[in-house]
Amino acid sequence: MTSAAMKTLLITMLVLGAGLRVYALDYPAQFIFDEHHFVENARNYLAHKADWNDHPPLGKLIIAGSMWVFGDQPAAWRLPALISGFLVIALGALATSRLFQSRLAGLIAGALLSADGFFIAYSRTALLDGLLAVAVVTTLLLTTLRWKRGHAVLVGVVVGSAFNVKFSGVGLCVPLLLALLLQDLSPWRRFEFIVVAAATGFVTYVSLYAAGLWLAGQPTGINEALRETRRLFDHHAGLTEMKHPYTSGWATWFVPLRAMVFIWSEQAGLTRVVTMLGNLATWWATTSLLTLTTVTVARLGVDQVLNPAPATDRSGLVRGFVLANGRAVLVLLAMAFGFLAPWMLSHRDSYLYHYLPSYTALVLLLAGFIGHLREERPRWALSFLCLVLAVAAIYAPLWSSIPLSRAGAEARLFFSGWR
Amino acid sequence: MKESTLVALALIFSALALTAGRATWSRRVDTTFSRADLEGLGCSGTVHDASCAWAADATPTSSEKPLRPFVTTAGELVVLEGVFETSSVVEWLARTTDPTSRVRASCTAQFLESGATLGVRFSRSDGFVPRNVAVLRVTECALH
Repeated sequence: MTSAAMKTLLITMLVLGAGLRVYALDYPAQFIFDEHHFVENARNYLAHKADWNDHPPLGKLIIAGSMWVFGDQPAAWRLPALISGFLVIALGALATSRLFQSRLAGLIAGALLSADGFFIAYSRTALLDGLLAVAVVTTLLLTTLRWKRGHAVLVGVVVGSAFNVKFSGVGLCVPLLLALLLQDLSPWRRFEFIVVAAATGFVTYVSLYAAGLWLAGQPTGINEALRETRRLFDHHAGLTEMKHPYTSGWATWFVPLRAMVFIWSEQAGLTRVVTMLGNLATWWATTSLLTLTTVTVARLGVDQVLNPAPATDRSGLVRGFVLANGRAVLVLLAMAFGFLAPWMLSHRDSYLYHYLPSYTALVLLLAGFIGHLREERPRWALSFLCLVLAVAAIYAPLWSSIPLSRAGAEARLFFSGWR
Repeated sequence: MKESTLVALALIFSALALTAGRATWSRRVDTTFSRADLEGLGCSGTVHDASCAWAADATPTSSEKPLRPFVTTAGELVVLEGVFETSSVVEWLARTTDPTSRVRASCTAQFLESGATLGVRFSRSDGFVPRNVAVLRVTECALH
């Protein structure tokens, strides 16, 4: 049920988000936040020097490719992030429409992803996490297909590439394993699928790593790639002090209690800010929905969620939503928890940006729910989306460095943990 | 309430919210300078279509209205284009012979960039020191 009013609202959110992504992309001319880690090493690859960053090479190779084509300038550093940002919207919308068999849900997903500062900030900065978000929506799209042998190769390429951006890309394996179990395949075909996907993933990862070593003028080969991987793993395993002022425990991400400010520049009466704080209406709605759907799935049981008996009570908005979309809900929850698991199960230093892949999945879940709500309570769904647009408008200047007065910036970031 | 009314209200609110607390791209800059500053105030680099009298590599440029660093009466460092080329300042320069005589100017300026890195100096004998500065284009100045 997509009325003209609903379409106008969603298209406004899409256009606003697109504008905020491209506005003053080359501002500032200096590095933002952790950009120096990635841009300086992209320069190293172009100069055939060693990479000193503690992540595998793929993300920096992509930035290097942009700098090679467009020159060593701020817009070229950030262009891969911008393209990733638009891919997340497009693929996220497509994945949602297929997961929930609803074009409206897909359109809502695109609008929610577009009008959210978490995604906008990562579309404007030469950082790596936006690439992981692309891997998340690509994987979710893959889970909607009827898998054949060729899909195992695709799955392997996506996982191997994501793992070569950041090791936390391993979180993709949780929803993929669940999706494999939900596919109508024999045990032998499932085993075969895992072997092919794992082999392709390994070859993808090692090849990309070896390509990076070769470009950096270092010894190149499988052993060298694995040795470097081991070295980086050991380094990450030792980062457990949580002393950096930006660190935050995973349980705080649902509020969030600590959101990083990428830029806070005050010059001649102009305050320009870019924060990773997301759209609070969407953020708190995803947190609520995560809680309610998790509890609902736990109470119903996975079998009941996937194959509800005809007589099953479907009353209640969340219960009805889960029972009508059991497979999609389980896959999205698996994605969210798959990327949370490394931080829940370890004491590794963690930051809010580690939540971006999980948040991506939860926004798609929310879009599915709002699509469901639109059928049950049309006015509620529209009102919620109006609220999301209003919050996006209020926070838009802080997501894309639009000049504000200092008071204007501080009023928006009213919670001290967001400054 | 109709759906179209609800969405219209959301759009109106969003348009207002988007502009609440926004800074304007135009502002007044109060500063003082002397005739000697015509030679002493200089910078190196470019910002959009504006240029200092020296390029980033310190070679001279042919800018007709070179950017120059000024310190405002509030103590802010800003880089301005066109101060010495406004008609009121041109007239003042024509009738002032004492190089140390200072004048106070209230200029109307538009932001070119809120934070650019340029090399700045305040005397011909100094080297350029890189600073992150706001860069503005002056349209007119009133002298006091």
